[in-house]
Amino acid sequence: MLCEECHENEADVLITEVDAGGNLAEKHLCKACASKKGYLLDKQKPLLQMFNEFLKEYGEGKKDEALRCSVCEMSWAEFRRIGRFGCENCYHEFGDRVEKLISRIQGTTQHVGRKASQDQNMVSFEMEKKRLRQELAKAIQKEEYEKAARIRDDLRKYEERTE
Amino acid sequence: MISGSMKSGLNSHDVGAWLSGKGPDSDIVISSRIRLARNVAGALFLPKASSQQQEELVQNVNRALVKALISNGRGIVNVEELSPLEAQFLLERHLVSPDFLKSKAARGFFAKEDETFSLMVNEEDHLRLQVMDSGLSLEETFKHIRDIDERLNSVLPFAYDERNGFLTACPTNVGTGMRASILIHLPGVVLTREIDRVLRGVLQLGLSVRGTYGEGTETRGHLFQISNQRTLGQSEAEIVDTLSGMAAQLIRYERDARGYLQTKMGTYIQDKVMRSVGILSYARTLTSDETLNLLSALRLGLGSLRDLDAAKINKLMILTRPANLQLFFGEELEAEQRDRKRAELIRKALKNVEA
Repeated sequence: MLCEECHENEADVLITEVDAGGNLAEKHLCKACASKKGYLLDKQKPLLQMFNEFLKEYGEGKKDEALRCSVCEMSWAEFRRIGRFGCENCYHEFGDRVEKLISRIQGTTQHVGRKASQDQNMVSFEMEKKRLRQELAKAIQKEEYEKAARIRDDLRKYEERTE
Repeated sequence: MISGSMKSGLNSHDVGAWLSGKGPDSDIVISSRIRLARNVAGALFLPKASSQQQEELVQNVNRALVKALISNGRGIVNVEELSPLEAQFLLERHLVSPDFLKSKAARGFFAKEDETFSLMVNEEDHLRLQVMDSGLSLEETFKHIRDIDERLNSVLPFAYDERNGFLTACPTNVGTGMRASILIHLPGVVLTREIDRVLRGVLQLGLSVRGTYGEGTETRGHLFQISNQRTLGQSEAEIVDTLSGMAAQLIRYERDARGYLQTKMGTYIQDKVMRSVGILSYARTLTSDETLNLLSALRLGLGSLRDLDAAKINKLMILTRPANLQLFFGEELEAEQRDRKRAELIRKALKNVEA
């Protein structure tokens, strides 16, 4: 069936409406005509779209592109490409770029909701464990096995405490 | 026959408690849902985690669930071990996302038997917690998920800072990490052509609408999903209040529209309802989309038909989806066979429905 408005495209939208007198009318329209006549909701500009626009525009300079997170090694260029951070530290490492981005899409940068209810000791244990694991890997790589054994013992203590 | 029981431990013969048709205004608001995005402190986010780290994370979360007394021993399921049919079944039940099923990462899934709580591990964030409830009950839903979040957080530290709140892989979720939504049925508002104006109001409040509006007003059951967009700068309670307020307004619009339709064109509406009863009760084959539309019309008849309640319609809405249907009957079915079995299932369920 052809669109009742333009008589050109295939009608793929069926509009059922009631007029003020309570009469019912059905119209078969194509998407383009239905949209022109205001039957279809305008495409909203959602958060995600603003986000993608920002990523496209922001920080194209070489200096920015090369910026890299020291923990996960994600670069700003890579973040702009995939739109996802590699670790929590990216939020700090990319500094005011992230601030600007968050402010643009969220309208603010300050969290006002619930706080994490975790034991902060546990968080620092996790960080410490992470640091020790990295040192362990380095020590093994350098064939400093005595040092590696010491680090492994420390690591084990932490792991027992957080189990 | 499909052999063995489902890995997820869910019941293919019944639907989750969030479809029970109970709760406030459940004739119009089908369900309320809240999701929280969380990441485990000190662990790399998905784009940078090695597959071994991803697997470790799943195990870590599994242990935490047991410690926090959230899982009942069954524990997390490895998503790769799910059959394609069961994966699709979970998607149709809104328990996993399409992206989650497509992902190549090591992934875990957990759901309580009644499906009120579910969890995806290594979706876009380490954790995506979800609580669903029947009717308009965002406050209850929020209390429920807050409780789970706190219990989990007491044994598993989350990536968090005072300024930006809960840190997520994508900054569109940072802060509360919370996405609250309702699934609402608005045939009256659509039929009276008020939907555009109404949805504009929803957008102005900073909420987002996902629906099937625009694909033809007669298709896909007049169902809309309304949710918050922003996750930062508003507390969880404010997000819940805004959405609940909007929902209450939408319910009023819908009731008004139905009142208007009833007065101005009662016979047309009744005809629409009774035709859907007729087709659903006697058809020998029914496609999935046709079923959704007919069930939508049937929902308009709630209150005027014997042996019909919201729970029954909700149940049929899910059990007649392709994967759910096959697992209900316990066998793999081709499209044509599915249409026959679908009609059979519906016919049995509606045999005592009459005016």
